[in-house]
Amino acid sequence: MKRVERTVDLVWDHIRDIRELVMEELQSMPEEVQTAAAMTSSELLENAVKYADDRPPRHGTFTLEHSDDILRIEISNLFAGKEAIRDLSEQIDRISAAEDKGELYVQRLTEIAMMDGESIGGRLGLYRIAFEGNFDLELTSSNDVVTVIATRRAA
Amino acid sequence: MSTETFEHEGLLIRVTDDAGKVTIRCEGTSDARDPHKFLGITLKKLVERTKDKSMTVDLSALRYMNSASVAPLINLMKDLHASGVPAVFLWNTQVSWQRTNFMCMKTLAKTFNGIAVEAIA
Repeated sequence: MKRVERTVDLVWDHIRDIRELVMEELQSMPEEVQTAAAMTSSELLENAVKYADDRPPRHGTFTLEHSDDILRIEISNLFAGKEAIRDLSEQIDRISAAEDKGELYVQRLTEIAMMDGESIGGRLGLYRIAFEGNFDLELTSSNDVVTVIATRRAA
Repeated sequence: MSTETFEHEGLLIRVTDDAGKVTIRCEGTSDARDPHKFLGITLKKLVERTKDKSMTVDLSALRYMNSASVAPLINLMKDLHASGVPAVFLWNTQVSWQRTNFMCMKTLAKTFNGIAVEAIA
């Protein structure tokens, strides 16, 4: 298993760097796997930035592990309180329980389409990771430090 | 034929108006924290001046798009539908992430009369 670990500043502009790192690291893999891993890393980091505690240190740990069989992406950082953790955990539970991830994704798009207002975000990232990226998601937390792990078969 | 371009943080929007047929072509990367600020507002303004015309929204040259960028595209569909502007959205189904967006948007578009989602292979 090959492992790449980075301490990342939880700043929006740095997310693009991690996407590029993942694409480069997985360049021997099929395009679908590379882009799925880059998208998943990016969406998880976006969540980390959005939910991060304002107290320093505002950084997290990004880990990519891969072999011929398995791809594992992990983001760990300090969250801004229990409510944000519970919210994320409930989303992951809902996604994990769904038998048809594609149907769940389209259902979420339909919900977004029915919302009023222009600045709606959609909170679509985890749904996308499960459906488009084909990753399984898992969350653990301890003392407000949240670790989100995404795993899928590499082949 | 008139051509205009809008650019922000790696996302380029090229707009051509050729005898009443408006084409919006998005290129590059859409990964803003709040895509409404540029992508959403730009698309909304373009719809407002596209009355009595038809529109093609070509997304096939996008290299990457974050999930937050999906909402402005859905809002675009809604606005075009509400304005009675017939439109077609184009995705590149040779690219895996675009293929899944194509499939999902095609399903969603069934609820909007006059809006079609098609593949560029």
